[in-house]
Amino acid sequence: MTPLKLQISFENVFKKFGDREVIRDISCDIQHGQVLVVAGPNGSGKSTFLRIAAGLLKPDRGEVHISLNDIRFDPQTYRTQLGYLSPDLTFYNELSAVENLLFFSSLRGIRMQHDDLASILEMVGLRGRGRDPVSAYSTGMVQRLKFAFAVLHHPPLLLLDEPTSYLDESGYRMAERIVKSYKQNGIVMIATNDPKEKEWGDLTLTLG
Amino acid sequence: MGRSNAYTGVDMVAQPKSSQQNGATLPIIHQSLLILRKDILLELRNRAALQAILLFSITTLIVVGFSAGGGANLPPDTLASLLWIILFFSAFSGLSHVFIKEEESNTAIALRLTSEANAVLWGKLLFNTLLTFVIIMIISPLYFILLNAPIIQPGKLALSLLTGGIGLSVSATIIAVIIARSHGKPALYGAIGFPILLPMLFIAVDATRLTFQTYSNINVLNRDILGLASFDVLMIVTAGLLFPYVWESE
Amino acid sequence: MFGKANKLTRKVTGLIKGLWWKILVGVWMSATIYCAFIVVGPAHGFSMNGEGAKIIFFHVPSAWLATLSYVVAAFYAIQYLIRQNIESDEKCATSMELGLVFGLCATVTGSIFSHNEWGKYWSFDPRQTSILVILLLFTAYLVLRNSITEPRKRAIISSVYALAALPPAMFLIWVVPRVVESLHQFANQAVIGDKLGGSYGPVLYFLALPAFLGLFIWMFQLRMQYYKLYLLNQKMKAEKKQCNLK
Repeated sequence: MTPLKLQISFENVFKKFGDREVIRDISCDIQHGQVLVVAGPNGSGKSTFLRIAAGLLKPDRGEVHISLNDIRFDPQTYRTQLGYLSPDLTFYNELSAVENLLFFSSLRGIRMQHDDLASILEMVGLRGRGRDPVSAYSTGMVQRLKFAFAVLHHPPLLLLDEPTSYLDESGYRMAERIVKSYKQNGIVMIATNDPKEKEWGDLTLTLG
Repeated sequence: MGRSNAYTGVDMVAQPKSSQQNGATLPIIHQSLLILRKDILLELRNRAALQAILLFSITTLIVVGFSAGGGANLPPDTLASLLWIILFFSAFSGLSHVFIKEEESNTAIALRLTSEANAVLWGKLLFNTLLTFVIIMIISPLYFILLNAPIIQPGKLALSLLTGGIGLSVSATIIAVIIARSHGKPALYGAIGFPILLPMLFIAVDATRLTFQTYSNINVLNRDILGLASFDVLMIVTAGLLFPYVWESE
Repeated sequence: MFGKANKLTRKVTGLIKGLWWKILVGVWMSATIYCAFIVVGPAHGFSMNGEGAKIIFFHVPSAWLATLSYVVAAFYAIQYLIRQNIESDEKCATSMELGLVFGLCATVTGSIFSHNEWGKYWSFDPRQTSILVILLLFTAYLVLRNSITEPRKRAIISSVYALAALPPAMFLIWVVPRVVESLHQFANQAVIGDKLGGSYGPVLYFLALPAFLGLFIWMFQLRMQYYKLYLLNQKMKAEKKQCNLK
């Protein structure tokens, strides 16, 4: 397996909603193996920034470049290959956790076997609860499922918006483990106000 | 790649999947079939759309049958129009469900993160078309029985219902995504959809009317059905071109 | 293609400066009205001693312009989706509004004519129902537009809706009248052309149509100017707010 080298760069990114300027001219470069923490008060545009990086929103001005082994992608093309977690991500409540994960992974072209499912549920701490419908999950469990969703395809780029919300001590440790190991694989970007999460970062971008 | 420990401990980052490296993703047709399957699964568990449509269509059918007085010798154009009125309103009571539900429960984000835009369109379009056909197959026989409608040309009748049904479902689908993504009031759905569907309905009613008559102009009937088929193709192409703009809007 | 078309439309709609051409439109329209009622003779076989046919001079151009409005709107909708500039979207909306205005004129004049000639205001024949559907389309577009406040989202949704209506509109204009036999068939071009005298044609094509076209362009420009003023107003308000904050 050739080692992957991931880089992401933002050039003069600008975004406004209506009359409100949310992201004002931001430029930065993030290299492989780094964790970027995006911090700032509420409403300062942290989630928006992450969404732009994920290709869910397009910037009004400026560009975002993701390059994998020097092949350039724009976020829209790369979207299905990155991992994303955020408070507004939702699953299909009538389906079970396993059905959700199977559906999303098969859309990505990954066939997950029973063992794969078992181990990923184990990793996020949902062992034995895979067959329950998501409607029966607590918010903490949904958050853990979101982690499973974000990493099931081993993405080089991991975008986490408020990753430890609703998580207990063990969930917190799980999140930290994931961040620490995924940063070796590529790049992790975290949007947060939590001071402990901020410590995970190599670089910090403060908005607002 | 080690399966059983691919996700535990340090091996969390085991082997990146090779498909991620060269940017290949699943073909759109495959993705749309997966989405279709998911929607069917959800529908079987929840039955919301199906129930809405069935309830509406059967109720309307009974009201129409009752007020038409057992359909004793209704003229062909009335028979045709009433059938299509029932189908039109039934469709509009249920076909927006596929998108409105995704929007309300916010699962659109997860879909956008894992699939191509048009895969969503084709998958949901197939679902809506399936739903429309189910309704047509349930309502039409009941209609013919309750209103004593003469079946003179079953083949052409089936064709007119088929092509009209597809037109109904494609138009309803693109309107549904417009309403869903604009976070507009679902009440607007009928108002917005009506001008889009009316031209097709004219032709569909005309075609169906002709199949109720013994001596009807075959040329006109064929032209009608061809017209419907070409409308369907046109509408499918238009939906495919326009869908990404709506789906990807903020 | 868009470059050239844009230059042409800008020449025609945006920047015809000065009063001269508006006076020209006024004169042209007056000439139309004068000719329509005074110069052109009565047509035999029509109501009101043949004078009833004169409404054609206002009904037909209105209908044509309603259709043209939709075509223009579709053009600007495509332009918006390609270029993503809000002004194209406003032009699309302007066309749709004007289409509603002219469509209403066409519908009203058409039903007056129908009442005079054939006794009923409305017969739901395909041509008449078509114009009603087009009116519904314009109205639905405007209602949809009004339900969205954020400008960019509104622009995308409006443009997509306008274009989704393209196949049905094309069907309505060309396919439906030919496919279904109707009242309007008796009243189509050939038949009316025969019954009308020779002078009707030129007055219709050279006086009435250009006058209405000029009217359309004038109203379009006015509406766009209103929009630009509105933008200016918004900008001034925003700047004032910033000054106050400082």
